[in-house]
Amino acid sequence: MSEQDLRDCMKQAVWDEPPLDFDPDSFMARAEQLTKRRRALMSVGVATALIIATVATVPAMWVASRDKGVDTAHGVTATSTVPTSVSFPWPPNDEPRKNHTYEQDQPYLESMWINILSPALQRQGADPTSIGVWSPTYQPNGYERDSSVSDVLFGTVSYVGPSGPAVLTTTLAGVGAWEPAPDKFCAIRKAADTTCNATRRPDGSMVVAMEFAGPKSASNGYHLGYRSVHHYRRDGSVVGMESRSNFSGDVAAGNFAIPLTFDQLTDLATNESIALPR
Amino acid sequence: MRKADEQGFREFAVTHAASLRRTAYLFCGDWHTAEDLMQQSLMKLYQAWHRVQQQDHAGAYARKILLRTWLDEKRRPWRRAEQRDGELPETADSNADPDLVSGRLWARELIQKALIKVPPRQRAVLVLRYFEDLSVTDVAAVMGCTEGTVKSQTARGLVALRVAVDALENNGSAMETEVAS
Repeated sequence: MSEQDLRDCMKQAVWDEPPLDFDPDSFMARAEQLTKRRRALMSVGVATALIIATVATVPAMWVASRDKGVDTAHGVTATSTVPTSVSFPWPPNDEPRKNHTYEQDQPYLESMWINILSPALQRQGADPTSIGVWSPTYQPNGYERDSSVSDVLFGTVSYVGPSGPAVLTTTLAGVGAWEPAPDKFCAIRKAADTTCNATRRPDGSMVVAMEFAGPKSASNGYHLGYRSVHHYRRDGSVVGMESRSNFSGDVAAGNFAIPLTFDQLTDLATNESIALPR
Repeated sequence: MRKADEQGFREFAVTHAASLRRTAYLFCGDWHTAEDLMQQSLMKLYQAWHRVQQQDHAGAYARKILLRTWLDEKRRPWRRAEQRDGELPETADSNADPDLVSGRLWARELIQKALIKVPPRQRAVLVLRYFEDLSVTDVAAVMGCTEGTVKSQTARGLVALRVAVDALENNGSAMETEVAS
């Protein structure tokens, strides 16, 4: 059979075509009716989906909000303002870690101390003449991250503030150096008499604020607590500030109120000028 | 739908309904199914008319809808068996030219028994190319495939049709021999 035969055959095959009973008016009316019905069905479907979603979500939210209460059994108030569904990838990028040496960074760190940290302490009421030496050193951060790279700097400085002798511990961690992740910090560090809050800032970074009231001294009833703020920055670096009173072994003479407030510590930790050199 | 669109669609439907039904008949080999396919396709076209009108190729779009509607229909389990029974016997028309009648009957046999054995997409290509007289490019647009695929499907479709026609002819001559003996 040639192509022309097929062509002719197909033309002939429709010779007994039954008469076409196509009424455009009734067809258009039916089409319009079907379109309306389809729209109505879609509206009902969307409304049903919304109702189901609402019914499913409200109890879940209620349960979630109830779970954020105080864990009285363990005496721990471990509240977190970070929604559990919001993940904060940590570290936020794959930038390689960088080895630092104190000798190389010393001029930068000295400048940071003179121009930023020491003036900030003075603004918060520290007696300028009492501010001691800040000699930070590179140390492993104490968590599980690889400690073969030297990029976590710890430093402590003592001074006399409005509430008496005090100690400020600074932590400067390079990009990708710090663990735990901000949403795990509270869970890992929480202990009895600890308050811990993780908060996302408008710029996308996170601040973890923790206060440890400390055990009471059996002899005199003093609390030996501390307060810390860690700023998890968007570039993957971390700056931590921790404040405690400096009793210097003379417990009876000390004032054990924690010297710096959360706001003061947050101001220090979120100061972008305080960071490891890049 | 706006009045102007409605008028445009009405004109299109009136002028194209018959040709769409014929094409559908060649796809499925049954006038009743062809009527259903034509109605369903026009209904789908009605819902998309505002878009189709802007693109100014309503005819090609209608063919595409028809083809997809038919292929979808074929996939439905209750449509898989292409069997028809209860056909009315042919009645002799004393005024008709015997050669013409014989040719038409052969053509209908071809559609209902041989073309129906060709795989659906190859059958569609044959109908679009040899009944609708579309170019390879236009068939590719309707089928949503490349021109190379259209050519290969055409070649395979022709081979399959020739095999089916040979089987039909052999069957016919065997039956004639049986009747003669």
